[in-house]
Amino acid sequence: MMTLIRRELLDNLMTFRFAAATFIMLLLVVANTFVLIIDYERRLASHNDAVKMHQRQLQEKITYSAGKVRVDRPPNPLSIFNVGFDKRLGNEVGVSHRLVPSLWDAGMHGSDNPFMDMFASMDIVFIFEVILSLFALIFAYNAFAGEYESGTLRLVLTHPIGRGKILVAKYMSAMFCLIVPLLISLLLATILLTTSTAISLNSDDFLRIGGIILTSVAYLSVFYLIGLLISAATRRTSTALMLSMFVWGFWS
Amino acid sequence: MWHIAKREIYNNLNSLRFALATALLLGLMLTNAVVHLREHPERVQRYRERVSGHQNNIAAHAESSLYDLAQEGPGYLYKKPSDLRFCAEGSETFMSDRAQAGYHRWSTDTLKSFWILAYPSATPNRDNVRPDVTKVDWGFIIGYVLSLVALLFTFDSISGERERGTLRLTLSNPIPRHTVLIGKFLGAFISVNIPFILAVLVNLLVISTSSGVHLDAEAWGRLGIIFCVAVLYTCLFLALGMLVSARVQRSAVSLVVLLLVWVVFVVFMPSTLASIAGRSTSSGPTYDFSERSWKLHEELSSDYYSRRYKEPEDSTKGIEIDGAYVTKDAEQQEQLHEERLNRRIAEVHRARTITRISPVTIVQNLIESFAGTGFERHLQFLGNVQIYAREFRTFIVDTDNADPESLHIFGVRTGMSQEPISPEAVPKFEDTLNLSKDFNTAAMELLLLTLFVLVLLSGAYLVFVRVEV
Repeated sequence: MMTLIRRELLDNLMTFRFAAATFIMLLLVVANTFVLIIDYERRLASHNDAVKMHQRQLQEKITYSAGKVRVDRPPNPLSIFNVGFDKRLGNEVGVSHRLVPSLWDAGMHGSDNPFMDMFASMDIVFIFEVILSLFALIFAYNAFAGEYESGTLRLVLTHPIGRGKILVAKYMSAMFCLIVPLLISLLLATILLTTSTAISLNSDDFLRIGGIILTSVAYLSVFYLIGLLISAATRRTSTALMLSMFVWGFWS
Repeated sequence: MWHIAKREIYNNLNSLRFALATALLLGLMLTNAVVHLREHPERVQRYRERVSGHQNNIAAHAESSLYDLAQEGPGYLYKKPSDLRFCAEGSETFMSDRAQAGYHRWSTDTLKSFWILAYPSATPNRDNVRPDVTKVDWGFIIGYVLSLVALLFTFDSISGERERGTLRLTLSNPIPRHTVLIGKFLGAFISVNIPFILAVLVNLLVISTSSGVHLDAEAWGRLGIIFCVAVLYTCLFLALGMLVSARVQRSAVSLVVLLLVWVVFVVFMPSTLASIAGRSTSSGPTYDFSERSWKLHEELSSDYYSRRYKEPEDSTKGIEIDGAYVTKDAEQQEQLHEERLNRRIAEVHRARTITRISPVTIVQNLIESFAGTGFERHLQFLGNVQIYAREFRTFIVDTDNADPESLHIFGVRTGMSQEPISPEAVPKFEDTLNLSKDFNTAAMELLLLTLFVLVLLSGAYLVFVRVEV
């Protein structure tokens, strides 16, 4: 079993695709983290300005009954990993008596140009979703079909090893190869985050990052298994590759 | 050469990828047509209702008096929905579908503020809690799916033959290399375009046979241009595929390289560049604008009150001061709004210039501008609105000048003509689209796309001529 895993691992690690995966992941994640950190700092500054202004307005009030308290929502530092609705929904709400604010009463500060909404925003998890799922399929397409073509599958199966074991070995080694670029790029992103003075992450945030890693790994494993299924079902690598690519294009 | 192309086409037609590509493109195009047929008649209906409501409004004001018409203004002006919206939904949801030519700010017991032109903004994001969904429009199908299909058809065109050894066989015949390359390119080009043309035909068939949507001759011309742009765009990716395929020894490696290039240029470049571009714009918070507007008004009104109380109630001089106050206020405020609009447009232009490095952005911008949706179209609409506002104001001045009994003082009821006006005489707003204007804005992007294609084609040629078999 161990020898099988080791063989697969070495097979995968030495390939061009592993190098390419790691390189492109690092490049994209680092470049985007820089941009996203600066974007976050700007949003934080605008939040701080708004808080200060609302405080001042509140202190200037003479009668309390007519007063309206404005509450601001700070930007979440983890929005760098996944932006979600952090930039989209309103981030300030006025509270006064006789008004129960709903989602639609929220205002927005920090951005003066509604036209800029038409440019899509991006985050680190999106990079994982697209690139790593692609690589999961690229790692998987010739797992069985390739060995079948080169005839090594027959050779391996002549040894007294269960077919299930070969599958597990392939799965584990490929997942390892996929997790390495994921972890390295996430580590780099987190290091960049901690160097920024505006962002302070607490232990809670680190736990959440752990959650992000876990979900990403589960997501990757789904795509790798799809690729493995295609590879085992088709006999030729080119067919497997074509099918995988169309599946990828269709689903992501 | 034609032999090689024919061989390639036969090869491709029998392959799995051809069947998959056809199925995928047909499915997407059908979805697109069905969704468009469901949404578009409703949209047109809504636009018609709004326009007729707006006409009734103007007629009511015109019947009451010239002052009412001049004070209320034309009201909301609506953007005409494009018949080709199924080609590019794009950024249309982020643009407002109206301009407000009748924005009132204040009234006192004797005076009312005059209308100004304001530009409301659509912020669909602010109260939209649904996750983003990709709109399946032609822009998406061409930009993402067709480019991926083009790469999948060419990644092994040269490296695959080299692996099997048939390239050597072909080149042992007395055929120059460039003929081989052009033959292969033509073969791949035709076999990519067969499924695309099929899908487009099915899409247009479904759309044009329906009674709810009517496409006129100009719309068909625009569709033809969009189709040509799509074909040019596929050429770009075919050339890229040939280039990498000729350079790289193994087809698996070639595919990995191509997919990475595709992902970086098509998926990441647009959004990353846009966030960089969005960062460089440092627009102040929203309340800056309202503060400035309020301050301007405050200055003007304190000046007005100090001058007004020196004059007796009903003298002509007093009315003149009133009129000057109202018109000056409207002028100032409108200028403020226009300045803000121009600043926003300049920011978007800057951001769009940066994102043009990615071919998918270029092609989506092109489709948007030819389909009459998106940002360039919005700018045309705003231009129409501004022209109309000028027309409307000239009409008011002319009608007032035609009446000898009027004092010709605008902004005050007693200073203006009391004659009745017929509602038919008031100019009507018509939102028009101009194809030659669209060409002007798109020319740069069209040339950029052609340049990309030429560079990649010559790159593929150079690499293939020098490569060792």
